[in-house]
Amino acid sequence: MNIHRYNLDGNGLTRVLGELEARIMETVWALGQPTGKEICDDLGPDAHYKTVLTVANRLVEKGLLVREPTESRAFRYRAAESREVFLDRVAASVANGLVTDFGQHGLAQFVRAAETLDPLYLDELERLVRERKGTQ
Amino acid sequence: MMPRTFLLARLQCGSQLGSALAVGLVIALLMVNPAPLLPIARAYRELCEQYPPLALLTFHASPVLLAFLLGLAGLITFVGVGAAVTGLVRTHRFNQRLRRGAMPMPPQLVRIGTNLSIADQLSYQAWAEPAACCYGFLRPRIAITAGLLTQLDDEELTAVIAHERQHLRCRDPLRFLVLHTLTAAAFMFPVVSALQRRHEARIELAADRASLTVAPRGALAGALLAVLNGPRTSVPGTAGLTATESRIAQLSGRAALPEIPVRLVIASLGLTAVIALAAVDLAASADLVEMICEFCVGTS
Repeated sequence: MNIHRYNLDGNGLTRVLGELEARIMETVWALGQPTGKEICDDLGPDAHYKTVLTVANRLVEKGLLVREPTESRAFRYRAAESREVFLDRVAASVANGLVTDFGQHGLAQFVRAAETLDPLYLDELERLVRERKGTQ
Repeated sequence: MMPRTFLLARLQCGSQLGSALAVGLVIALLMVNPAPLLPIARAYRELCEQYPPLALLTFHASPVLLAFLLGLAGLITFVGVGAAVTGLVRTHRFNQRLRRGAMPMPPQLVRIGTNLSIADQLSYQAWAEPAACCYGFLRPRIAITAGLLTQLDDEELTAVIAHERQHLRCRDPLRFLVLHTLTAAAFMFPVVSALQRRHEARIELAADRASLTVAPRGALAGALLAVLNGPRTSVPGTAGLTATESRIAQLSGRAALPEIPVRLVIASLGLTAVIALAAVDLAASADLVEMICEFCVGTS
């Protein structure tokens, strides 16, 4: 899924997904391969089965969930990628998006979001931090 | 992800040379067939008739040469102004967002801000990402996010704010915009983007040195690490040092600014030579002057 929308006022996943979408994704990641009913039960009494299914199917269309039939007529849902991989991708895309959307040129950022970094320098930085922690 | 990013970096480098090549090619085509310059020459002539002092100034130059130089200047101005306007609009939108989103400052931030005598220019944002930036062109302010506050200790936060304070004092947001505009305007010279990176790194290094006067080296390193920790595209050795790499080198006691690749210098010199040759050729070409005269006589 490509990130087209970014909500600065949201928290966590709701920055890139709708609120119910985010809750469903969290449930699927937590339960592994739940059915629609299991997702609905996990979300609590305020979740309506039909709404949950509609939103879950929307997530299937977005490529975030994969739907598989079971022996009974229900479907099982599983996440297309792990939570970590998804969040990594969202964060990288958001960081780049922020810079592209708002133009890095009129900002003096502490660290440029879209900048690439040689891992060797990261090691060097960690060494400097360890030195400080050692002297404290 | 890695091969794609690598490819992108390569393409970017290729496009730098590509713009020089494209402009050089257009100039070469104009040498072969200068017809597209004629309308510019004519417009300039008409302008000279309205404002005679202009004609006196350019009395000795051939009309085609003037048209060529005017075209070049027009292109540079057009791209530069365009870049400045888009940069301004985008940043203005972001600045407004930051202004609107400012929250009451937590005591820790007030305390450190007061120590650095900059508390009234700080703005606290309730974002989860650890980030800090200096924003605003005329009255710059410093934004600090909640994510940064939770990840850093007092010394590290002091290091970040002192770094941003230096940006604020030098009005660096404005400097970055000007730098961006100039770089965009001179897009056809590949070396310019390398020079821009180098100058930006210099500005960041100056801010870090200012920060080191009030915070220990390890604190600044810790703050950098906190902000860098997270998903990050890393492509070693494609485009020389980044500003962050220069900063880490400086923290380690080495002086290392991003280098300027020789091939970009050569390409830029090549393009300059092409422009100069074209100008000399146009100035000296009697045929062309004749052609212009015929054109002007024929149409007037």
